[in-house]
Amino acid sequence: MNMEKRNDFSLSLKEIAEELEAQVYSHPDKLNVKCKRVAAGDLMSDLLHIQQDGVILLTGLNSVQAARTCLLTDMKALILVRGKKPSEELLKEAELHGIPVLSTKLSLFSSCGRLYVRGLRGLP
Amino acid sequence: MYEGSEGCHNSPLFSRAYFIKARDFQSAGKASIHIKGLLKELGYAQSIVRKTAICAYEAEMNVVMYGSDGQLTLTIYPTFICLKIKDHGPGIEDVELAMQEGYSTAPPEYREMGFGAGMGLPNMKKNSDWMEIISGPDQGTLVHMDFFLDNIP
Repeated sequence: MNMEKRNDFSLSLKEIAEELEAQVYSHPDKLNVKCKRVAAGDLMSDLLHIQQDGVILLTGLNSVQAARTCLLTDMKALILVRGKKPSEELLKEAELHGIPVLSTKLSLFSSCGRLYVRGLRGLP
Repeated sequence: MYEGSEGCHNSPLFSRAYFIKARDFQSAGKASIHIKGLLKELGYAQSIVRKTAICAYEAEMNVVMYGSDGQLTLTIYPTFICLKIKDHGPGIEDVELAMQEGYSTAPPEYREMGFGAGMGLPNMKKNSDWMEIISGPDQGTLVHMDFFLDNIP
């Protein structure tokens, strides 16, 4: 795959949800959104430098701040790992601002591994 | 040499102040979300909106975590956007040290909430076009950031 193709590569949120066997908690109407890059981690400050479009967040941080980080950096979706059910505050914030929230039973490591194999990459 | 908006003669188009309450983690970020929505509505480029929102959020979290209530002021000038964040907290003893990536005085419980990684001030520096911190022990902290506008709406 040449570099140009690599930079254009994306998966839909629906494909990602299927790959991670994830449950959708908010905005199932946005599953056709294109995702190009993955940010993963629990420290929001480590992720608050994002300047790319089409990024999704994989995190174990089940708090309203995870939703606000997504919103403020224009991330496309928030995926909680290790089967965490989104907290009420997080879900309320995500619903309000149009952020799809999913949850997978996989660990952060396995989730990233599966998406990497499918062709997605992290932030440059 | 550019010396920040203080030395600039062009007059502000808009200004709004937001109160930030210390230790109120539920509300932390709301001012930044409001600022983001406002700038988007005014038609500023997405990159400027995102940079300003990220810096506002980091600054807001700093006041919530370390400050003792504070105020965030957004001022829009014809050629740049200015954010000023003033708190009445303990202040920063060594600003140069606080600017180093990974340096943090955050207690473990802040890290559990996803903050206190020691990336806040460096992120703000990276995402703004000009930044100044005025602080000292028991003096509180003033963070001043400017974002230059390439595409004036």
